[in-house]
Amino acid sequence: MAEPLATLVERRRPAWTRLESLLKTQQAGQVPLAALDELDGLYRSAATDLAKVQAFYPNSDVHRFLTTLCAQAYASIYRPTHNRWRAVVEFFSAGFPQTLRANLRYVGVGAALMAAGAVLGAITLWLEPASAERWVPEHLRRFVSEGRLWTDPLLEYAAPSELAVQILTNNLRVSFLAFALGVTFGLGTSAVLLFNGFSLGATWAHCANNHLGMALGGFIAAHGWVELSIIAIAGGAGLKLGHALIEPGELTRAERLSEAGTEAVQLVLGCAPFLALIGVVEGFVSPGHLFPMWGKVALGLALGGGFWAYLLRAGNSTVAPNSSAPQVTLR
Amino acid sequence: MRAESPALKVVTPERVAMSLPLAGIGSRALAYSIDLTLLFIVFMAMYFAYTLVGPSVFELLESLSTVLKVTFALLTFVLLWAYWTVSEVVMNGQTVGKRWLKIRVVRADGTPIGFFESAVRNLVRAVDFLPFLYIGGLLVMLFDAKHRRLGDLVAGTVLVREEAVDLSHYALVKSAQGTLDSTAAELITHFLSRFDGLESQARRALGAQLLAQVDPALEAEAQRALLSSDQALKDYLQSRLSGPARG
Repeated sequence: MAEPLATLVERRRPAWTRLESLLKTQQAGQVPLAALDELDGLYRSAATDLAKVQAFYPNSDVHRFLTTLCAQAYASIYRPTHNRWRAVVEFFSAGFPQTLRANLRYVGVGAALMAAGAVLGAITLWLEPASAERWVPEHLRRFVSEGRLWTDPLLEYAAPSELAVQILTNNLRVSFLAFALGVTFGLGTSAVLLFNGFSLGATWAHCANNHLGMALGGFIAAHGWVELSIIAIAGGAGLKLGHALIEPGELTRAERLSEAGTEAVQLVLGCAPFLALIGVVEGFVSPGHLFPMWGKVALGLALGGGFWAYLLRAGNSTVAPNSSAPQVTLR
Repeated sequence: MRAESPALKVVTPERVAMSLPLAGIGSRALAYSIDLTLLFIVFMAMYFAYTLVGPSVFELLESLSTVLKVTFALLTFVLLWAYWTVSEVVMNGQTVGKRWLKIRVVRADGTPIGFFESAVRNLVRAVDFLPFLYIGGLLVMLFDAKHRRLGDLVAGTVLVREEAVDLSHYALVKSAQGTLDSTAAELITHFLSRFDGLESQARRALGAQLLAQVDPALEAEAQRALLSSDQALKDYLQSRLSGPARG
């Protein structure tokens, strides 16, 4: 017969209280090595108590108390490292580009969807110029009808830094949404990509119809490559979620989804600082005629080339030749 | 006996099986509204700081106004999107609201979440919110056995409750020996520890149930006598913890 519950509580309670207070100090910060040893021992004995109580007194208060206590101790013993700064450096020097390379086909599909949308938009406007009323926003059409780009007077309304922040937050929102909508079996993400491509193609064709095609090209030249790449990458992350749901393989849908989710989010988060950079370019360089056309084109090619060189090369040496889907743990 | 509530079954590497109670829709929604209120207050403070202090500063320093505008725009965005993940990473799976309600985000195996899991569940929050007012997320939580919303499903996380259990009433049971089984002793101590907080009607109703279970052999006459006065019931139950049944 097991020890009566009340006697057990009386005998063991001091140890449990000690464990509780040790956990609190550990939560608050550093714990000396000796205390860590003690914590380990106390956790093990509390776990034994839990097993005992579970067997003889299920659903008692002691059972619930010990479950919470052991769960807390378990969580704090298996807590990830505190060295977040190093994890960030590792993520950008290796983890992010490696994850991207392992998921290039999703990014490719994302880019293809966006391109398909753009072609559709351009063809629509080319065959039916009047449909601009339906597909191109009104305030843009007003400028075009005056024979100039809406981007020309941008700097009269707002400082470049304000523009940069607006552009950054907008781009971040779009890429977050493109990723998150992946849970709709990829349908939402595809719609976002197609629609963004379509409106880009339609707007460009509308400008070309009004002899402003080159001008718009000049506006996009500096930031376009990186910006569109990032939207394609974020879309690829969403498509990865959708693929995990549609074809979970040998895992359950939930398991496959969460596995894909933590990997796909790295694509979106890794792009965020580059979106900030490109927001600055789009705010300071792209609008107006402060920089010559060839300068914008050269800058755009350099940024785009540099971005993709980083994505395709960085962290190459640290990965074994045959390892697929490398992952770094940033916790 | 408590009814079996949904729980997360975990086996630690030390081979200890635990079943952590899961947080339900109610506490999760409440935690969310607390966080939302907090954000709202911060936004209001920012708004007033901006509109009251802003103009006077603008007149003095034209160039400063841009810096201010940029800072506020960035801050707003960061607060809206990063608040959840930053606090879940810093506070080990909790936000202010979650801490208040004693619930915590953990991985499916009970270990603490990392940065990526938190980022996933909080980015997918935008989809959980669709079409409006969290309808999507709430529906998913209703149908999921572990009360997970879409974000949790994608991140592989669950929310567990951390119960604060007071063990002091076991001191009362200590002397109980032999005649009572542990369940009965625990029921009685539970009842006694809450006795003073109960309304007298509830005392009587619960007392009758308790007597029926602890001492089924008690005669109806004796039972009625005990239930007629609070003090008698209390005294009897206390004596019952250490002694034999009456009669």
